[in-house]
Amino acid sequence: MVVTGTYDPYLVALSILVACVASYTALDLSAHVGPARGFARRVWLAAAALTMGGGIWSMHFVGMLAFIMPTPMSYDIGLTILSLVVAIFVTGGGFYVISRQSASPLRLVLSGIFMGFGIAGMHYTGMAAMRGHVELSYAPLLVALSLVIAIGASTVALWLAFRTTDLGQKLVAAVVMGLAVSGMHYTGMRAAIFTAHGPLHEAQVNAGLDQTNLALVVAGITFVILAFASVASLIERQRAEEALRQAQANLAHVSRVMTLGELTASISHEVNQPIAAIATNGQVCLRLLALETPRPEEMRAALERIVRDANRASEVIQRIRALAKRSQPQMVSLDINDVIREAILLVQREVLSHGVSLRTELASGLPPVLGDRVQLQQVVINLLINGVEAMAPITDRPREIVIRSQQHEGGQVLVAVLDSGIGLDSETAERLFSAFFTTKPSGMGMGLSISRSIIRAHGGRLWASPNTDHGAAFQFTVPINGSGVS
Amino acid sequence: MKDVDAIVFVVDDDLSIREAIQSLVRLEGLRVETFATAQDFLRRKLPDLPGCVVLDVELPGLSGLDLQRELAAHGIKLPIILITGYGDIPMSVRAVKAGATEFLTKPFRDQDLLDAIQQALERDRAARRHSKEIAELRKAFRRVDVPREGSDEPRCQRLA
Repeated sequence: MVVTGTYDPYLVALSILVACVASYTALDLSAHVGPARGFARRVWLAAAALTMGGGIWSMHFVGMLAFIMPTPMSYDIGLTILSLVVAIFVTGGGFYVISRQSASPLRLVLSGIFMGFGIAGMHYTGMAAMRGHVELSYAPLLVALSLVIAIGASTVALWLAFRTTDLGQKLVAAVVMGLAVSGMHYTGMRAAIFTAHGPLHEAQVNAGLDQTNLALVVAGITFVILAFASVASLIERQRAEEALRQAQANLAHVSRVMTLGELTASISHEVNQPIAAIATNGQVCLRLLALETPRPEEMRAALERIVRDANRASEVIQRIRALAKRSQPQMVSLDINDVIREAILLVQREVLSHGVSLRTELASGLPPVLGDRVQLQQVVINLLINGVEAMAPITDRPREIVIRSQQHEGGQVLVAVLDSGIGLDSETAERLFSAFFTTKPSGMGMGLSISRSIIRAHGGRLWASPNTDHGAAFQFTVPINGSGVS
Repeated sequence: MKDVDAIVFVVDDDLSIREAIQSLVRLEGLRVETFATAQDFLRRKLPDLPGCVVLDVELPGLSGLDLQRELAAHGIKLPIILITGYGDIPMSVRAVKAGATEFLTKPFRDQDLLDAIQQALERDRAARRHSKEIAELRKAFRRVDVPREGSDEPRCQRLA
């Protein structure tokens, strides 16, 4: 006689939850496979396969335990373990193939079919592990349907595994995959026909309890493993982000030092001026001391000038030191106009010596921005030097740079650097920001690219457009401190 | 050495340098006027006094060397002392060829600048004396040009 079982709805829900959480964790782990190399790549691949395969198996096992038969059931340990191994192996194989290179659709479908068959194999191995006073047979149509679902779910899983990046996408993908995996299982169960040999009046209440406990233990272990995997993934993500930040900071530093190198003549002039004045004032003091009648007022004035000029020289040196130092970016509340003025201090001589006049139009009462002082100065310096160089060939009109600050929409402050140089067309406007692109005979073509990455890291935007009359306009935005944009 | 009837013009865009030179030169008992740009200096009506210009090479807008040419073009023969933050030999050669009396690199020794100023003033005084003599000669010649019988020879002899 055919035996019909019932489902424990709580365990069914638990099995679907296991499938969804496992899918999410696997997607999360597979994101690390792409950027990793060598051994680390294999480790992440194995971890992703282990969580996905193990999770699918765990879902199936819990799903089977949710099935209550009016006869006691047990499971063959060997076959049960084999079903787990099959699940992990086929998932790993699928992930391996798909992660290798740019997956063609054909490769994706073939991997999906392979993995789908594998999961179905896992399911039916697990079914075969059932031991009890019933005989098992299958309805072929439903078996075929479960296979189709397994292949479909696998293909989707593989397709998503290396593509999803943001959290929302990942969550939706995980739920879809979890439901597909569960759907495959319950279709497969529907295909099973249990035929009893003998009487069915056994003490099944206890068996049911055992089953529930076992299901809870399996699900619990699965969740613990998934939690560990998630923590590992989180740590790796933070490490990778930190490494990226570090690399960016190092690159910005190298670029700053190179810029300072190009500005050596101008900056040393900026230090030499006050030093020359100090020397002359000192000589004035000596002459005053040599006089027969003391002239204390003149003496005081000369000494005051010495102090003032020494401070001026020291300020320039401090600016250089801050720019040359390799330091971690520090996001603090800044007045963007201060940043602009400090940057101008270092480049004004360079600007003047190229016959360029520099005009500032700094809006007063701007709210403070959140940023790294040194890096924002670097951007301003880059844009100013860029403007100066763009005007070198100009002889028929005044060479003028205007630097402007103003409030911008969306809780941002805008800084614009406008020149009257050779200008740009819309085609070069975007290529300007790619690394190593340069229109100048000297220079690495890194300045604008680094400037843009700095502004991006600040949560702002840097772009170029033709200026209204002649030349180009480079503009960037930085979020106001506390606007919550970054 | 004290010479209140001479004037030193200082043209430098840097306030610190202007003030330092001004106090140094004033201490020598000379009159000083300072200008931040070449244009400002060109607008100044020059008095009929012995003088010289202490001129920064790296001026914004019209540079020191431009100003030197500009003055020459206007027939202003004030001696020029050039000062520069980063002087090189070709630049100093160009400057001296264009008529600069001295070329000093900042920071300079006070005595070097003062010597250069005295030298320049001396030169301007000599030049002024010279042109005054020439002017007087011209005046005298105009008088000679008017023919007057019997009196030509002795006058000519006196002038020679």
